[in-house]
Amino acid sequence: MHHTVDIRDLHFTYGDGTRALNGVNLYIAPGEKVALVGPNGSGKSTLFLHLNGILRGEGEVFVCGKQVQDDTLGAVRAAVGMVFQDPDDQLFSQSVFDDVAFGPIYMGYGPLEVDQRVDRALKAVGMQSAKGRVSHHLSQGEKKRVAIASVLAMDPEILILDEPSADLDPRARREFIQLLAELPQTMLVASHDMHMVAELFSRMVIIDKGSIVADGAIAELMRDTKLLEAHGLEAPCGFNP
Amino acid sequence: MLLSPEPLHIPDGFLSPIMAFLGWLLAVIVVGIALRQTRQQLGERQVPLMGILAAFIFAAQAINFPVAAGTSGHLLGGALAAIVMGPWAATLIMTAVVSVQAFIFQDGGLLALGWNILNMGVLTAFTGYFSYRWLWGKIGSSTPARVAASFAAAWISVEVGALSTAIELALSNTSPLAIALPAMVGVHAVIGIGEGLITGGAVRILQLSRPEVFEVGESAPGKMGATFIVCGLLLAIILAAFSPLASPNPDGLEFVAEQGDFLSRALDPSITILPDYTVPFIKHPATTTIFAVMLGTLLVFALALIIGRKASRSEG
Amino acid sequence: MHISILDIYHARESLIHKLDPRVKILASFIIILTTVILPEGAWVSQGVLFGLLILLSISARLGPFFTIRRAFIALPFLLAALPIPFLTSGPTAWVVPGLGWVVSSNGLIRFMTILVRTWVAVQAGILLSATTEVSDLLWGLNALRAPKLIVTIIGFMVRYLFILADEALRMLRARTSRSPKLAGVKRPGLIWQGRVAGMMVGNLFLRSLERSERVHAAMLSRGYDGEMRIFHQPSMKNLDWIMLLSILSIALSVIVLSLWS
Repeated sequence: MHHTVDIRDLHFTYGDGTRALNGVNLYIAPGEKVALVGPNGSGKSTLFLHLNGILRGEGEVFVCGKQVQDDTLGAVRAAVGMVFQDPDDQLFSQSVFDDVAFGPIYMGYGPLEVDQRVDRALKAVGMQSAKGRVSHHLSQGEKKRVAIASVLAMDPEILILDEPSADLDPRARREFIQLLAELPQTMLVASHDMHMVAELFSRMVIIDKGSIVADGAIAELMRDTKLLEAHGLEAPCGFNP
Repeated sequence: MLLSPEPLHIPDGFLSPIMAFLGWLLAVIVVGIALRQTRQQLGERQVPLMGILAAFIFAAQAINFPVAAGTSGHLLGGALAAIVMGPWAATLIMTAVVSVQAFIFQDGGLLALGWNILNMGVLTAFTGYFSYRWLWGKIGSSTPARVAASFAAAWISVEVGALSTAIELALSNTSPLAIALPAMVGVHAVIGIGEGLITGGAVRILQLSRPEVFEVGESAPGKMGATFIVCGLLLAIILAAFSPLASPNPDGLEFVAEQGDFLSRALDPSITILPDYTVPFIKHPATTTIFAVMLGTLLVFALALIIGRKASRSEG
Repeated sequence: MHISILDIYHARESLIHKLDPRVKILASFIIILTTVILPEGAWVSQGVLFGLLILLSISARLGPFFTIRRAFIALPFLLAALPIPFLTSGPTAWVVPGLGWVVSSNGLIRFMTILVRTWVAVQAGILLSATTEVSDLLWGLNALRAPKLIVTIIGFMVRYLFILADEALRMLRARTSRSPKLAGVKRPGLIWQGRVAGMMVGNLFLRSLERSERVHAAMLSRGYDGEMRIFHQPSMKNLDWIMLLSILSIALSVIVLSLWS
């Protein structure tokens, strides 16, 4: 069985000269749930954008058995379910149905199959009743769920989420964490929410200034307060591994 | 708050059916070209970029500032859109804005939508763009030069929009040219200042914080071709407007003269309108002449289009 | 903090709402075209059109006064037509006291005609947007051969309208919060005000640009390839055809009626 994510020595520099990634190596096996933490500007989002080929750097990026290059983009983007930080960026269609159907439509499925996928995806996130609604009318928590549904409809192998619990009120956040716990897919989640990280994940990767500085069991890393502080992080209070 | 404050949105009922049809025809042609040009220019980004920038213009039209005694200055946006994104992209953006205003807010009629798109979308974008490029070339490339050029370009664009609106109203026999023209152009000379200030201010902040955004507009396609199109359109409108005056029927000139007379003698209570006075466009025996002239200008326009497209294709 | 575009569409359980969007769009155009084509002074015909709109408004469960209330938007533009009563030749109807300006009856008829035309047209437009959701409206336009690209662009525009309008509103509020009117203090000048407004516009532009880049990335992530695909919708039902043909025949008979009298 192949890896889900295999990044080898990835370098990336933005057009204005900012060095965003400095030789990143990352391996994620199928079924793993991994948290990516680091201060703002450390390169989390940049790294994510390499995983579905929106950005291309130097080095090799393998995702779900395929190397990310021009001719594999379609397959890669179907296998990688990327959920962005601001759900309004992701829900760009006229209705919830249209947004969740977008992915399957572009994968080439017919109307019947698209309908079924939309229903399944919305059910998985508990938003079946929202099918005909305009995304503008949804709450922040509801939008985030629909955003997840919009990628679930493509049957991805891995879910990649960027700051999923940001902007959520406590109740919505609790419901969201529950949802993430239930979803079976491999996951890579970038987050500042150390409580959620400690609750949901067993493996944590720390990134700072474009390099991976630590990669291991959460229980261990969370105890290393010096390491955490050095990279602008804090263990959640009351954390007891 | 969402309604555009610019009195340029012509409602239905003010343009004759022929004029409305002509407007739609021209608008369809120009927007069609704009779609192709921007596709080349922007590729896949085209749809989300144009859509969101259209939403931006709409929202920006709500940003006002106090001018005097309760009135405020607003933005129409065609010139700004063209300065940053190029005239064809601006055409698309403004088409979306004007169409939404017409269909959803009834700000501007549906039959009149053709001319409204041309006035507020095409003419403002192109005259704004070319004024800007030309002035900027003449004044210099510093930030103050850019700001000054965009101020002037925005003002000109609003005036041109007002000019063409007045002419279209006149050609439809709704508002006599001698009244509509000075009224429209006069009012918009003041409104244009607001447009100029906001556009200049926006350009300034963009130049200071993210000057690279101007690269899109500077490398925009079809400059040569666009010149032909814009000049052609303007020429066509102006020629059509003054055609009755150029006709053998002296009513045209007499009409303007009497207007002047009428206005200056308005305060004399013993004078009534001369009994043999007619509004020439209505009683004009040569509605066919006007039609012929319009047809002719359409041909001129089409010719300019063909030449223009060849020119823009050759320069890529 | 939501802008009034949400107030335009009024959801109701009505036959009119359920009509195919193509029919509603075409019907609006037919009514508008008819009112504009009718000769001057065709009051009976215009009255019939107006009555038709009231009828449609009632069957849309919006009540008879719905469109009338909202039709005053076109009023400001009527100023452009104001000179007409004074400049059209014909028998005198009225003389302005003190100024001696003469209003001819022909001119009055012309002016009233324009008034009525505008009014009928605006009401038709109001009815259309009140009974048709934006997404349906856009689909209908596309189905009627409007370019797919323009329709999709407008779709994005409408989708992000609220978000950008909210951002603009927040900027305006922030400005107001920082602009106290202090007694005895001179207000900043025109140029400064314009500059501030321009700054807000420039800022909003940058945010919009960045937003569009993120949206584009989200689209790519779900397989977008540059081609817009619009879903097929059900075809016209009997009721749709009946409605369309009825409106067309009313329009034609109204025109014939006007030519007769």
